[in-house]
Amino acid sequence: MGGNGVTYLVFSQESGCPPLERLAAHATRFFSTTLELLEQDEQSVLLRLVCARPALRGEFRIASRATTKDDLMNARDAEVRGQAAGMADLAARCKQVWTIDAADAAAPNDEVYLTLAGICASVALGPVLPPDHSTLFGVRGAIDRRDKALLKT
Amino acid sequence: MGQEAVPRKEPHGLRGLGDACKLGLYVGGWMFFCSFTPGMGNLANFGSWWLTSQAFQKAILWSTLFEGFGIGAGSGPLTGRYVPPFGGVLYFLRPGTTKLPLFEGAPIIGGYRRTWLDVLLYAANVALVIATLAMPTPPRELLIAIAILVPILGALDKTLFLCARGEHYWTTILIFALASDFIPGAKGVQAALWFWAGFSKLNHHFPAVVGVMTSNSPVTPFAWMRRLMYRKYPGDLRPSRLAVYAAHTGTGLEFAVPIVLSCGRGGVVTAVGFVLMLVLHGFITCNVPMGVPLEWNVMMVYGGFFLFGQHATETVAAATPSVLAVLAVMCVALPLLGNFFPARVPFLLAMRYYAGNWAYSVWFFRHESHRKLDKLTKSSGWIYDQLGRLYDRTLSIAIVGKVMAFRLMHLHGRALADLVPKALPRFEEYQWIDGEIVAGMVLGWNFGDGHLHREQLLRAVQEQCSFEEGELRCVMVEAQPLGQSTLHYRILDAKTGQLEEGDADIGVLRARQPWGETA
Repeated sequence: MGGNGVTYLVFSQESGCPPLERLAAHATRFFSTTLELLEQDEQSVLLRLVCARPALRGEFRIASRATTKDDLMNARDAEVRGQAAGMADLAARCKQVWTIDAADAAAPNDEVYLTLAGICASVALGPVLPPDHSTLFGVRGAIDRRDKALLKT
Repeated sequence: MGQEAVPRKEPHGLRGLGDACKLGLYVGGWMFFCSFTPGMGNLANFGSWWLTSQAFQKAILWSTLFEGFGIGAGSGPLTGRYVPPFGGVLYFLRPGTTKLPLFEGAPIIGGYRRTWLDVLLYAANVALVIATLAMPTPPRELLIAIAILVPILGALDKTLFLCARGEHYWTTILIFALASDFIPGAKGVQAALWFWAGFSKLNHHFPAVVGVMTSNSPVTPFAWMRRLMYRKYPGDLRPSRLAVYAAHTGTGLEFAVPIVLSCGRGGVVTAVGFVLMLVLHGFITCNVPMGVPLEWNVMMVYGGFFLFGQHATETVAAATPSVLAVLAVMCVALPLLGNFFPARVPFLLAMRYYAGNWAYSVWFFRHESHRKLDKLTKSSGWIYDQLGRLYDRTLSIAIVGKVMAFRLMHLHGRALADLVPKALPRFEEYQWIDGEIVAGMVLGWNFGDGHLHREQLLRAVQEQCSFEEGELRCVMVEAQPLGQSTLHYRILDAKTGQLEEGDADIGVLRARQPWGETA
């Protein structure tokens, strides 16, 4: 868990460490966002996200681990809560989860998290479980939520 | 010379455009449904998702829906459809249309006319497939429901099971429902499709198929090249040695592709298998053969890459016992039975694709007696009425004549030189319509399967149209069983029933020209 205790979970059909090159390519191509590698080890990457429009910025650690029963139970509950039909089934087919945490205690806004979650989902091809476990969503869901959050602010 | 004698040209470009649109709809529809899964369905990052399990499952489900609507195999000019260009859903959602029940005469389910029960169950299946496609990943409960409902639809109307491509798409959906790791089972199905397609060509029929296909291909532009397919054009139209070699090569490819790909583990062997696969399906697709569903070739190639490339290391042996049982029945027993007893098993279920060894029928209507077909509830008109909306009479006759020529150019069609005179007292009084066109018009779907237009369809038509004796005569010819050298035939009158049956000798037909002379 990151400095501020907020963790987004992305279920992944990809195995192993998050593929930074593909994440960066998707970020640039589909999200007008730059991902800059700060640090990398076997199971995680530390990176900086910079989005020009909307203007967003944050540093995160994305770590990869095996999916646990708890993850899947949380996904089931979230699916029911958010009426996200079929998303928990998709989560059940993902053998890995990527956890997205803030790199330090200075928590980025939700919009920044959601941008990165959307980028990750586009590569992981799995659903996103937000910290409040209120629902499961995919790429479009992440971007819709981000845009709504931006409108509020 | 009157204006009537100057035919308008048949617009070949339109047919190509139609095929391109159909393929675009097929691929576009699949991508649309893939977009319900996070990160998928976008052309821009196609490479990152097209070989996922969800994409493959959705390709199979979308294909069965596409075919079930009638916009796949049984659509367009290649299957004798013009206005409208497809039947399928226009019939299957319409009470009163003609169907072929499995249990003929049984209460409630055994009638020849579609009831509201038939319509509702078909609609339920369509809804289920769409709901499954719209999920991020196909849920098992819905897959089970589809796997159960499709055979029920097949019992109500055999056409629907064949139309849903029971031997390929339904069998694979059943495997999805039975095993969460569906790869070994799906591999078994795909390998069987290639293998039995090759197996069914171990006879003398296929060289004639290759000759007809290649000499009518848009990629064989020169007349001299087309003539090479025949022994001595135009006097001797039996397949040339080149056609025979090409046929043997094609058969060899169909055996080689599943064997090589099954042996591959993702390295050079797999790469060689892919090259062979692309040569096979590329050649078929380029030739745009009559009645061939081009989208099925796309599905086969895609399935090859997914099952034997992305999952090269998994083997059929890893399948669960229930999946192995399904494979034993659908991919071993039925095709084997279908080769030895073709009268018992439709050629699709026997996986005897485009071998030229098909059951077929020709229907002969005396004078204007075909107008009695107007008593049927149907969405397609008489073939000449359909063509009359696009072409003048002369060209319409020429187009229907091509279907006759197609039949006569194949080995099995050469039996008609003997059978037509037996069936008709005065040939000039009758209109010759291939059973394929009749099935398309009456049932809403046809796909080269003579079992759709044999005795049961004649009974269904007669019950509703009441032809008088001699008004409708049919010649029905069965495929050649493996290990035998004859084609069984029947000659029937719609009112009085069977007039004659017998066997045509393959050796005699091989020496015969399409117009009946013996070389």
